Amino acid sequence: MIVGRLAQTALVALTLVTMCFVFVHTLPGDTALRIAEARGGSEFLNVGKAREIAAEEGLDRPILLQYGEWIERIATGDLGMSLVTRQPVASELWNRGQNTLILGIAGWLASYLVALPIGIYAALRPHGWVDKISSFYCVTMASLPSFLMGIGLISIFALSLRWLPPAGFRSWEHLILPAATLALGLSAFSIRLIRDTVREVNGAFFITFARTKGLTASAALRENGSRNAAIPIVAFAALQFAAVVDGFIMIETLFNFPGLGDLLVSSMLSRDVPMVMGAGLVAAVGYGLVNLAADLASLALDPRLSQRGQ
Amino acid sequence: MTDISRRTVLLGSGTLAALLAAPRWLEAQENAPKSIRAIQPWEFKSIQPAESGFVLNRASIAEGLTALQPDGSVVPCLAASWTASDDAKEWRFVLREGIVFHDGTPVTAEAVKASMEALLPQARRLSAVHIASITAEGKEVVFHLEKPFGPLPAYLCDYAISVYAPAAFGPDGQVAQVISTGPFKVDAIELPRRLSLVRHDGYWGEKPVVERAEFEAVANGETRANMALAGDADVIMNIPTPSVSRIASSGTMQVHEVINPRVHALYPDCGKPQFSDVRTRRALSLAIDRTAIAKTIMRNADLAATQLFPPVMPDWHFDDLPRYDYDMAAAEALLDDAGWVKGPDGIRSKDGVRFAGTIRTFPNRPEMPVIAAALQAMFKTVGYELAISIGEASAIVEAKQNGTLDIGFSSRHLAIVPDGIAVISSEFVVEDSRNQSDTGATNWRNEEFDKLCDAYYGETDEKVRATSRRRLTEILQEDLPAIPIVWYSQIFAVSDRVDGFVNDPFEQRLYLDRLSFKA
Repeated sequence: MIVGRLAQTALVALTLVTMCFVFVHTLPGDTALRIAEARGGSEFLNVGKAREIAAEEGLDRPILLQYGEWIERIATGDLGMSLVTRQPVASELWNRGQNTLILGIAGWLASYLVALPIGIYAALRPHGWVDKISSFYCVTMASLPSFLMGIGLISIFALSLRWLPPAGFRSWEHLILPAATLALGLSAFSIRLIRDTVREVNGAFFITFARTKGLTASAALRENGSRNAAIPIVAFAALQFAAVVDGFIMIETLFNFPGLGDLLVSSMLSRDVPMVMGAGLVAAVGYGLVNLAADLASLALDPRLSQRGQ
Repeated sequence: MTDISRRTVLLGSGTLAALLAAPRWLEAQENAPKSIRAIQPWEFKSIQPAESGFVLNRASIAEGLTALQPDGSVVPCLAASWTASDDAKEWRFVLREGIVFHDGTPVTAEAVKASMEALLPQARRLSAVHIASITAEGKEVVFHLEKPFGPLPAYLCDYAISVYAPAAFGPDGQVAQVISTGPFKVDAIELPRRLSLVRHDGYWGEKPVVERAEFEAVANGETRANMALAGDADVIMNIPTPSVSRIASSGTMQVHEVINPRVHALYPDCGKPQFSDVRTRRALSLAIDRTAIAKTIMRNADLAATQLFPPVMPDWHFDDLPRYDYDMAAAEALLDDAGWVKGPDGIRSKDGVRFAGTIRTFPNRPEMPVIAAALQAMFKTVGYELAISIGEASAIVEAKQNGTLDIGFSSRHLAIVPDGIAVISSEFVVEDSRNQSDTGATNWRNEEFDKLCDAYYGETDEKVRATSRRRLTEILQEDLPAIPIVWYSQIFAVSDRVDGFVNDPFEQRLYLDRLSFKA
């Protein structure tokens, strides 16, 4: 299974970077001029300088040749150099990727710290006040765009109360607001999933059987239901973790957070093709690996899957 | 009874201890040695002086032989003095005594020569100087020029030609490490956003008051405004005008505003039938209510441009030049006179050519698309149909190259080289080796203007130069190859906890070295 999934990840990554390459090149405008502007600013822009850049960086060669060379380089593990900063793409991705990973893990963990107790409690007492309030919370948070959520948190905690910094990433305090923005959005979906899954498991025959043996409701769920409930939750959590890449772009821009999303946006604007493709590659591989980890976790939780050859 | 495991006890105690310790940890952070934190909008993509030198100079890291003061004067910096030969072809700059680079090595004439020679190929504005050679003679750096060049000291203020130590350059001749001479030296660089600075104890001038400073790029204007409102920095540049009153009343920061040597101007393609006749350019200029734009969009009526150069450049600004009037009737009369006839839809045409076009501008300066929308309404009144295209600044250059440009709407810094000749020569002298820009006037040529520019470079007599400056600005005012709309003001937010802020209209330096924390 692992080999199959890795091959699938490689294929997805190749498709994604190819799409990145095609999209960047179909954007209107002269790539070399954009690079010249990104390097030296819009004052005193010079076409001669742009032509020099095109020649130096090989941007004047046929597109297919450029693509082929990039793929060839990737095969040797070399992501190339940024056209704007002239730094290795890999080191820039690593520097920014670490920040994004920290933000992602913090937001993702925070969302489950909120979602797990609320979701389980709501499942154990369906239609109770926690269930009703959490349902309202989930609908509200799910319908609220992350940038509005971020603006709201900035207004309250940074501008009005002045407890936390509004932007940047210099200390753990700078992590709180962007991670909270991410966590609130993610928890809106996971609370409902946890609630429904736990409720379904709680009504299963093996839980009834455990209760007839004399176990309390919580003990029956803990001993006999938690594994079963965890299987869909783990799969969903992994998908959610991978899907937060979308959220990073908005959140990192809003909070001036130096992560991958922010790098991707600025690279797209300046037509930094190697950087865009490198970021696309990292996103695709990361997505694939997180899904693989989720599959392995599901296997560990439910050995029947391996017997079925899944 | 539920059993409580040892692990649970340990975890609970640890969490409790962390919670209790957190305020002390925060307190310790509060009491750590403070560093000045400055925020500005422009990211620095590299450490090459020609590309990001403005950041290195602004952060008081790099310096040149000469420097531009906030009052607009060019003064000696690493050079203690300079002299020019009578024909202005040989310039001698005498270095100050006892200057050292950030790495402790002495600043010698040889080192300055090597730095200049390494940086000159990329310093495009300096190509106007026509340097034949540079020699190091004792304590003097001597520039031997092919042609007389009067404004050389002003050109040497250019950030692209600041002086770097021999160890700063890599084997390829590019700057590999930032080692210069300024009051601060680089402690760490995180491209493209953050510079950590530490005091250069061997600095030749007055040493910085604070030991450390942080210099950070935050591109989004709203984010910078939020940082000001939260008091999250000590100096913040380019505060968006809509946020000024909120910040001023927040009690965390003071707002300082100063008019810059910058203009937002229209650059019509003077080769197009719509603009080849100067009367149409004048008519459009008359149709612009600059005061309304300055008041409502820029929130400062003083920013309504009366000529290309703002008063902050007194050598190039003339109060008695005829101002740009706002006179719709005169605009209509000029267009009628030029043969542009209004059609049933209110749009004029002549010989089958519609009086219409597209204005291209960019959103990096958020007020520019808004001004473009205001112009659209104003021009329609006199019969010019304006479409708006918002893109990158390079799209204007691209359109100019492929002949599709109608009107470019750009923002221009007029004093990167403090003598205005640099920008007007670059923007308005066509087919000249000194024209290092493709962002300026399109298909406009004025022989008198070209000759005056050429003569100005070689002139050392200030009286003659002043006369030339006057005539050059008059030509621009009459012929309108560019139609200035508004000047620009730099708005700073400065924390109440710091003293010593210097408001430099030329944006050359933030003078972080003069800032100190109030007792």
